[in-house]
Amino acid sequence: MSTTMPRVSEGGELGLHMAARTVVGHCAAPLNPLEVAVVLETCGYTAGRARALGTDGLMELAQRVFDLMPLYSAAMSLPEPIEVGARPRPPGPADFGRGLAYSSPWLVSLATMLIAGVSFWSSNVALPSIANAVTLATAVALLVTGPFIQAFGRRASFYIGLGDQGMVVRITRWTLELGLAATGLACLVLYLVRNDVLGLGTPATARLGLAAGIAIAALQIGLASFYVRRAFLSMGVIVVGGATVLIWMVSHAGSYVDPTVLIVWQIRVVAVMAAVCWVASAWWLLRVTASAPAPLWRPSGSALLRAVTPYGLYGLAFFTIVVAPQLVSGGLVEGRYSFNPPFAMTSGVALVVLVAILAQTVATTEHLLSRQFPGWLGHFTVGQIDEFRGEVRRYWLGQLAVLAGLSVVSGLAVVEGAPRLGSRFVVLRDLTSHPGLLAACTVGYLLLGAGIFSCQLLFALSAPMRPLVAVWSGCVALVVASIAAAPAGPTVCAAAGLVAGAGVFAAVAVTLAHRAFAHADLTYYRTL
Amino acid sequence: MVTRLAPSPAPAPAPTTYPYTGQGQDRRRRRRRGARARARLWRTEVTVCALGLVALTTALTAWPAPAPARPMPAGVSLVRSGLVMASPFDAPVADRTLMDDYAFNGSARPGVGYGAATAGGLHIGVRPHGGWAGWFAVTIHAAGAQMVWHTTMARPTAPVGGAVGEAVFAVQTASTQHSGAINYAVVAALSSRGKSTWQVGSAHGLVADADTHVLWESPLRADTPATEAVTVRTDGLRRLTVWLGSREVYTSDRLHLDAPSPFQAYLEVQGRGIGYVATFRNFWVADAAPVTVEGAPRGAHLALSVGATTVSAVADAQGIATLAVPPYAAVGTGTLRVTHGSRTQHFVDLHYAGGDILQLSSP
Repeated sequence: MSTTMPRVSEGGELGLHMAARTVVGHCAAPLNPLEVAVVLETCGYTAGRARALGTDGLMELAQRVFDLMPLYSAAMSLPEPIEVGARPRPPGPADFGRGLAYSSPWLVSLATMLIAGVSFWSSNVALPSIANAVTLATAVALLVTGPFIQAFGRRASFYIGLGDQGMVVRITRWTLELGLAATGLACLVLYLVRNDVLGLGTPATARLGLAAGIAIAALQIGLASFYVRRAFLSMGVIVVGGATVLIWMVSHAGSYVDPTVLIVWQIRVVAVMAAVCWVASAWWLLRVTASAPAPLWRPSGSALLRAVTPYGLYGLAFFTIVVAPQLVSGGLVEGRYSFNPPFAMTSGVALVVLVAILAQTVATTEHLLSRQFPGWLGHFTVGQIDEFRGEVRRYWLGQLAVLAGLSVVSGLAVVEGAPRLGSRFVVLRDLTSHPGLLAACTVGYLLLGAGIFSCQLLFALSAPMRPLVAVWSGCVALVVASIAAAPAGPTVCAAAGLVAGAGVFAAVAVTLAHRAFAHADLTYYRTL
Repeated sequence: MVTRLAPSPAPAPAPTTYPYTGQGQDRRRRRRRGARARARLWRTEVTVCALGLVALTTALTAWPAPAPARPMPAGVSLVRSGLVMASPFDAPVADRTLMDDYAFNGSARPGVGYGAATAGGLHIGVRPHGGWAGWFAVTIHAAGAQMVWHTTMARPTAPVGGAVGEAVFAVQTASTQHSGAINYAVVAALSSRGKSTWQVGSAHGLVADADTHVLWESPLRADTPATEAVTVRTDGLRRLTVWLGSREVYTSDRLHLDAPSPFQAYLEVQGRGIGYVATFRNFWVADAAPVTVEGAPRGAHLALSVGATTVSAVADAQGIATLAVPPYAAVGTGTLRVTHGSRTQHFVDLHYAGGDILQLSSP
């Protein structure tokens, strides 16, 4: 009888098992060989030591150790391993096209405005009292829902990915449903103050404002799960359906569109769209196949709040920069509000520059997360941090250059092209008389786009505090500039606030993003 | 014995304790009871709330009717209303309530033009200023070519010296919104140098400064009535008829009005060099069609009395009678008398309007 004992050396399988135990000691359930490689290298497994274990290098060692993980880590479903060593292509036109889908509700809304002169909550036939009520309600809806939508977007995809229906319901209740309730309350307070305390507007338009605020908020929040699930086709069907109803209504109204009938049906259409979105979300988009054993610990409410607060605060400040100039243009600094048609029209047209910038932002962010970073992680080891950082910096600067080029093209197209369309589209008729305002608003929104771009990349790097600093700096600048420009009148004041706020936001965000990319390290991946 | 160390497909047993949790048990292995039921309950909640959202929005966006509800005497019910707009202006109305039905605007600077509804009527005025300035209340709602437009319009009785003051009631095409055309038919009370006149005209313009063509005017006199009940009917193309009180002062079907329907009414004032005010009462817009009464006994005689005016008709085989009220009295309160054989029914305080379909209940 003979007994063959395994060779007890690092070069045999025992060495691999030792490495596996080492990895499990630091990371209970690595997601893929890349994470294993990071841990191994951190623990001193160099390329030479990997060769001593009978592999070609650290990556192959990581792959073989990862194969042993079922022996040592808790049983759980693992995602598809990422192919190591691949060098992804930069984001291209296809990514940009997918990014455009994010703006599809807005694009449909703009197209409806150009075709029919009306859109979901705006038109060129509104009475001042209606315009005041609806634009104020829209502002409140944007401001209050913004934080909740940001928070939902950040956490919901996480729980959907984990297949935890209970947490999906919970996060929906605490973000979307709470957000709608908070917006409803804010709109009710606005209604009571305007109608019962100040006696502003008319009784019917005050009720209309309340309805508009609730319906617009419900639609914005209702669309959140479509973004999280990337259900752009379904979203397009709902938005185009609503737009078709509006266009049909206006085209059948004859030579006179009664502004009261129009706004009533605009708001009702928005409410129906919102209801469809909510029902579709609950019964379809937010339905996940729950794994029978609950896969994770459920965080407490306070822990959840801590996790989403930075994103909520970012959303609040961001929408403040978007919305505040509209309110300032109506005389907010002077303690009043009356809808300012020239500012609303020019800023609304200038806002179009964000379509391309947002598409590029989405394309870059998704590319960075799904392809670029895994590619880098598969290519570099911890010891090659300088080369890695150089690559990251080049990527960041390259994307920034693409964004700058896109901004120049978009900006020129709007500043030069929009006034020429004035003769073709009634809604743009007055643009020619406000070229300076159009240019200022365009610059403001381009800067805002640069800020959004940088902040989204920072979010992708799991660095939420830096966007927070940037966006709140922008808010402070907006307030200061608006007050400083008050003597020049509400329109100048609003434009100055927009440019200053967006400018500071962009400057701080780009600077912080540059620093974050310059100091990127491979431990990033563990934060995913 | 050879021990082969190789990955095994079988999962490793779970540890029995979880020191990091402090709970000593693996909740990951415990099924969450009722999770499916809770999720279904949540979905049902969302669905109900979504329906509630639509209902709430519909309720909140209900716009006040441009014509007040009309109580009918016992035995009569209103099947279809021909009254499109109505503002009696016989009681004070808050400015903000007024703006649910009217928009105020004009060439006068802010603070110069004003509008207010008191028990004495709707006052549209311009405060003292230099040059021409005007202010108006325009109906938000519009109505078509089959309508009759009516108001009682008054100018100040005090002479205006060398200045000019004008009270205006205009029926203007609502297509201004799209075309910029400000074409309209107009009735105006014009005062200057101690004398006044009533004029009927048509105007054409684009965006601003319409040119008025006078079609009829009363003699320029010091004792011209300061108040008249003005009734206008037009198709916006060729036809225009104007009544002052019950007197038809102008009619033509050969005009070139170029004012496509629908129309909006402008209750307006113009002043040159002075403050001036026009007062409007009993404004209404109603269908020019007769009042139709259904459910009357076959062959019954129906008579509608409004002040000194009485219109009558005989019910046909279907029990339908049409009462052709004159356009200047197309809206009013009267007594409907239905006589069949020896029996006569009286329906007093009947608030009728042209185009109404009234249903008599069976006796």
